[in-house]
Amino acid sequence: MNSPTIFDELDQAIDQMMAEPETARPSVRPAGELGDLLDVAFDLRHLPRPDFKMRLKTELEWQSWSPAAGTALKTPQTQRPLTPKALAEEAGIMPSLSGNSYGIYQVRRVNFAASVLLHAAAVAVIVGLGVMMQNHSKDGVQTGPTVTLLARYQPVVPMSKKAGGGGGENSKLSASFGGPPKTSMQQLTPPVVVRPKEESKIMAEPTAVADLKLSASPQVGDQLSKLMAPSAGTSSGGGVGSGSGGGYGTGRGDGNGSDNGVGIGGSGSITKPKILYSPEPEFSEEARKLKRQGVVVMTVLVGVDGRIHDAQITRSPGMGLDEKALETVKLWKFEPARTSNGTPVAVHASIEVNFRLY
Amino acid sequence: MNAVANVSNGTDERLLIEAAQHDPSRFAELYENNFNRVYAFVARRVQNREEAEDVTAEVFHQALSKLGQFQWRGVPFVAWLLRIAANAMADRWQRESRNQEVPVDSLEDAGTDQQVERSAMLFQLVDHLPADQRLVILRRFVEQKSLREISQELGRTEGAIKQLQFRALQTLRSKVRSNHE
Repeated sequence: MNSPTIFDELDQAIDQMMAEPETARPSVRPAGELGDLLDVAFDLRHLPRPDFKMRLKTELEWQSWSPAAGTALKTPQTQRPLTPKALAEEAGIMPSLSGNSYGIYQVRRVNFAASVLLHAAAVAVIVGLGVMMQNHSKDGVQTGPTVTLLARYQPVVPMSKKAGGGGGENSKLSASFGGPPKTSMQQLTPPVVVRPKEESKIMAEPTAVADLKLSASPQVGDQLSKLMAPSAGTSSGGGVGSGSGGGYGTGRGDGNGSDNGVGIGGSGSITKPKILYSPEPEFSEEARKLKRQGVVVMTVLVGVDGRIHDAQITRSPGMGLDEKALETVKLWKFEPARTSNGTPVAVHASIEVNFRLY
Repeated sequence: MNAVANVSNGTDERLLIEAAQHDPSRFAELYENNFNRVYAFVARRVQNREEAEDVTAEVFHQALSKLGQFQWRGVPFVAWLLRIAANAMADRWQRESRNQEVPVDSLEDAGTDQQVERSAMLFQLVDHLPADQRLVILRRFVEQKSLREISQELGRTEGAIKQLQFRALQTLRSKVRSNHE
């Protein structure tokens, strides 16, 4: 066992040797084993860096693959690789074709050719699959239905730029919470919140003026109201809302909305609900077997949470397609409609789901 | 044993050279066989590691590009490489206006230099040391780190590193001796 002293002496002698120029031998050579080990240590001062040996080997391999490129990889002084930019400048356009590249590593021409072939094969496979799918579709296999948001949300003004407004029954409370009334192009009776206990035997249906077939709510009221106690509103006119007239909303008139006039909808200050997530419904088994296609139209209530809370079919080709459409549409997610101040509001909209065979 | 004669069997080397002349990718074997000798030869004659690397790289690049001109005349391949190295160093020194011209004639038989051969053998033996000993030798002599720095890097005590250094040098000395005997 060597004593720790020998380890220390050797290390001190090596430290001293390392402090001197590389070519200088130690001025004093210790005798015995220590001297022998220092001779070895002196030679080790010239030990090459392992990474240099590997790097040079790689450079030579490049040179051997393409002698011209190998020359280009050297600078006259140091023969070290040029920067990628300088290499690209020397290599010219598409240097890979001649075995060079824009990167640090040289490109083997064989590898480049193999890469081109592989890419060509991949493109051919993709094109082939596309053609196969197209041919397959022509054999009667249907793709998914198309869906369209008809953007008929409430209130909109297709007939008049001026919307109708709501009235009220001179109540102390503003209009209570509820849904829209039935709509009709000709109003006989304005919407009511509280029906009279004794109704006429020849009772006209309370409606607001609109050409939309909206799903009437059993409890008519203001969709934005937080009041639950039944109230038609603080104004007069017999409608529902804070304006005047037999309509539904905050303005004056017989329509639905927040402005004045006769018509449907509001002032245009409510944004359209946007579809965020709309999975496509599947074909019903019956329609698939019969290879029937058609369009399902439904009226939906898009809530402030962006979900569909109420959906009613207004047109259907049958064969279970309406059920499939309803099931799926309830999964849809919307960015809710918003007022001009950004408050989300519930709106009605029509949705068209087109089941089509290709 | 003569250092150059010890390089390899002359016939094998001739076959290797001829193979590399026909297929440059075979030059890698010649490189592996002669790298340590060329580097040791150059490193003893230049000022620093960077210059040694530059000259060594120049030697092998030139050798590969001029391999077709090499004619086998019974002289070991390394002698040709060392002659290229001597010329490269002479050119370099002349360019740098140093008054340190190397007498090229005296370098013609540089391949027989016992010191070069010994250093080349030592470099090769380092690759066969146990991993921890090799790591300490590389950190100490290539990167020129102190034992304290090495111990911190490897997470071992300074005494353990000191011992590894001692053992590594002992191993190298005994193998160099046995190879020379």
